[in-house]
Amino acid sequence: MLVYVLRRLMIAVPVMVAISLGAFLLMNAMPGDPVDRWLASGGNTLKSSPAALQSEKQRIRSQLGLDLPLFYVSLASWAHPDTLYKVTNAKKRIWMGRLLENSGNWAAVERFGHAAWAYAEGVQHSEQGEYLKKRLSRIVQISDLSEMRQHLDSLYGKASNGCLLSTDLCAHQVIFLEAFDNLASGSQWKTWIPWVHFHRENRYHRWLFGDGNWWTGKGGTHSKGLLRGDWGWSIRTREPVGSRLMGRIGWSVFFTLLGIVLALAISLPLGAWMARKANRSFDRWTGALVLLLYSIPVFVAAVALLMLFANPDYFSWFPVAFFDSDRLPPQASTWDKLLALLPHLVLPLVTYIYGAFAFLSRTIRIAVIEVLPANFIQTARAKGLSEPRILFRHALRNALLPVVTILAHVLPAALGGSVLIESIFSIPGMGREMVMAVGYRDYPVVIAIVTLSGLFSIIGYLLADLTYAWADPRIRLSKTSA
Amino acid sequence: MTARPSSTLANQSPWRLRRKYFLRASSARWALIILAVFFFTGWLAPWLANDQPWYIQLNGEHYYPAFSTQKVYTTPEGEVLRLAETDWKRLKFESVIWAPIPYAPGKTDRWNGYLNAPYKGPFDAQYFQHPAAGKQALSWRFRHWLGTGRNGEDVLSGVIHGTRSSMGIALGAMLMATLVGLLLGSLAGFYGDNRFRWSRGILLGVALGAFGGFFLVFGRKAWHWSSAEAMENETNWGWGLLSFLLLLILGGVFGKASEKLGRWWIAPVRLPLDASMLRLLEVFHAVPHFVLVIALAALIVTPNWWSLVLVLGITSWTNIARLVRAELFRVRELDYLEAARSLGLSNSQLLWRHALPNAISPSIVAIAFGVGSIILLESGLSFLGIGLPPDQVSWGQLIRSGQNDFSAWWLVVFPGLALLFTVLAFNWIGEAMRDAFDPRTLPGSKRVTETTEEEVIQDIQS
Repeated sequence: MLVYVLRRLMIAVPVMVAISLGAFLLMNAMPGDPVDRWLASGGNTLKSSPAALQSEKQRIRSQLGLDLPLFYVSLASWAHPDTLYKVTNAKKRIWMGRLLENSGNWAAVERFGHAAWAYAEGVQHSEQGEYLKKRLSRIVQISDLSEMRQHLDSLYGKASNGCLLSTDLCAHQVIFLEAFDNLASGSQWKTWIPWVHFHRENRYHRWLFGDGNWWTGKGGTHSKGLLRGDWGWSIRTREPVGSRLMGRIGWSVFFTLLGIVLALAISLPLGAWMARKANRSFDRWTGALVLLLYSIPVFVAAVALLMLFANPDYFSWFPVAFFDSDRLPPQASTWDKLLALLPHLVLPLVTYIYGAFAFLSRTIRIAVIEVLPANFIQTARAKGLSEPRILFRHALRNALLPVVTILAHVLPAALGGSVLIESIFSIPGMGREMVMAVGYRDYPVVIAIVTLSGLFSIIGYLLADLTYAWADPRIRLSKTSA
Repeated sequence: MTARPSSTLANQSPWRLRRKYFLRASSARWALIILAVFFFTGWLAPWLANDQPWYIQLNGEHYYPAFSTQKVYTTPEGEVLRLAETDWKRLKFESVIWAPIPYAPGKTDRWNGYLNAPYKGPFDAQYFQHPAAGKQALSWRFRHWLGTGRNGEDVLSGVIHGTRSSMGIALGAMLMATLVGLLLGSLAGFYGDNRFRWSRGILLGVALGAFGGFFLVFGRKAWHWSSAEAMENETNWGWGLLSFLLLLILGGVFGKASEKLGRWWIAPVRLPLDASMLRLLEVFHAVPHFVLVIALAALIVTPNWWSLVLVLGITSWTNIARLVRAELFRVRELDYLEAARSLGLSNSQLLWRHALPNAISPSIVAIAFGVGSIILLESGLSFLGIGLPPDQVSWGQLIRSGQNDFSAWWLVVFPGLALLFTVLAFNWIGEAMRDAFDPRTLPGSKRVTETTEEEVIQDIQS
């Protein structure tokens, strides 16, 4: 048994690492600049001066770890510098990267890029004409060098030595016009040579181990690392992801578990009885009804329930919004809170139950049908036991093993399946958090939820396999793990 | 197997038999009818429900606006008709043939929308504003049969066009999932961990191709063809993946050529296809499907038909791969394959011509169930507002608009019914297929499950 457990664990750990790595790499490819989203989620910092905004952005980047390269290894070209990722502005970074691909001379690109960007920004903030602003905002998007030369010639061709603008911007103009010649004479072939760069400090390392010592965790300022329970910062709410999810996970687990238990309480007797009456009219009609229920999409059923039972036009029995303990008087006792909570639970629980119960009762029916012809049932009957006792004590108990597997699959899947239910009934659980995080592209939260649900699933499957192995010695003794 | 071939069975191919037993189930026949209706409704949606008439005669000229791809007409009098913007019902024609449902999805009808009241039910009185006579009751020809949305969007037209997007996305995604699943599953199941061997040359060539492809696609991002789009966040992934694949194949070809270099290059290397496929399967299997899908949907800047097909297809192949793999494990040990191998057939001939056709039936059942579940996933995504963009109608989006105001039950019930019947039809087809493909249900064999069930029931009752 121990060998079997170890073997299963050895498979589970790499899968877990693969999930977290995959989620991390994919989610860091999310479009848009997370720093802008972070600033937008606060609302009031946007009014500060450009310089203050720049330093604020810099601070956020280092807090989120965005000033680091993505992973331990990166594959770029030979001309690629080690420092491009340090450029703060995302658009500027992409533009300079593309310029580099067409030039190959990083020193010139750096000079040209910074100067031209500063110049363009200066013009945007100055009193210059609309035409120049428009032309410049176009220029800082061009990466094709001959196209860039045409634009620069038509703008500055006659006044390449003189200045078009006020003195402080003039310095920039001189620099980038000068640097452009070096840009065009760069060794572009270098950009076609692949080059592997190694980064000791990177985002993945920081996400896992924090920014202090990787083993002791000392000396870190922004993050302690996932392995010490720090999931990073939520961009949408500016809270630590870990504590944010901690407050959410309770409702999800509560509804999922209660829903499954209630669904089992219905579907176990129903499934067994359907199996006993197999192919009779009771089984046929119940089977058809259950298939019909099974085919109604959960969210349609949930909205329909709300429309029917939380609507003043028809039956206003249940509230639409979810329970909010803040709205109760502060001196309310726990009992009062529970009483106030109850009407909020009914409709979500009905939705949870019917989704699981249709599937469960069909599975249980098949499992019991397969057990019924077994010899020990004949024996039980020969002993003179009553039919219900045979069905529910002997047949059902032996048909439960497949149900264990299904439960192991249902539990983690319920975390995902409840995305829709939680969104509709506005239950503050993991699923709703996931939808809101995806809507805001709050990637640290998305990574955390994907990784957590992967973890839950793997634990669930592990438990199911162990239960199986414990119940059926043939499994743990066979070598093939198919 | 217990099948005892009778004389009538001997001259019938297994697929013909399966079709026969599949069609024997009345639920399967109903499902096929329902799906045919939905399929043609979706296919013909732009002509079934369109606010542009099929045919108009205007100043002696004939036009076919609904069938035309031309966007702007100029009449001889210089009157400009913009197909997308014109309010066709305001115009006076000499003769006109309207589409069966003379409304386009998502287009406002202000007399049955926000001007009178936000929604009109199927049974409410509906109006239109006559240029001369003022407010009048709407004739049955222009009635909104299934009611309207907040701004007077026709629900029936929305359901019809929603059929198009749901069916299109689900079938496209399932096609992709089937291709990926069959390929990975059959490679893993047929070759296992030991049978797949590449020469060192080919392996090195492909590895080099992958390295180069990774460099070009992710490192240098060479698929940005034009500089104008450089600043856009949209990256052209299609070109990237295509060049990646091309480099892989190129690497393989060079590797094959390198086998001429000497003995070292020919030496075979064993590739553990089965173990690697299983690990990949476990990774995909561990994250709940819907969570995975919405996480991937967040990566897409502007969702469209293709991106949804990609996201749903790339996450739905696991069941098919698992089933094909398990079935091939059984089939590859059968004697007839050994006989074919002894005739000198190559591995790929054995797999694609002889083994796979006998191992495919469980995955066909999975495909039928899979299309239903993809339709559910897609409408769930649209319901949450992360599916198709708002200007493209889908069932989930209609239901979402119904969630905003509980008085408009028709916004939930009709798309919900369409969804229910589609999913039900696919589930029926799946069940009927599972029964028809089960060798125990062939005639001449004792129907194992049913007879034993009957015996048991008799026992219980006696």
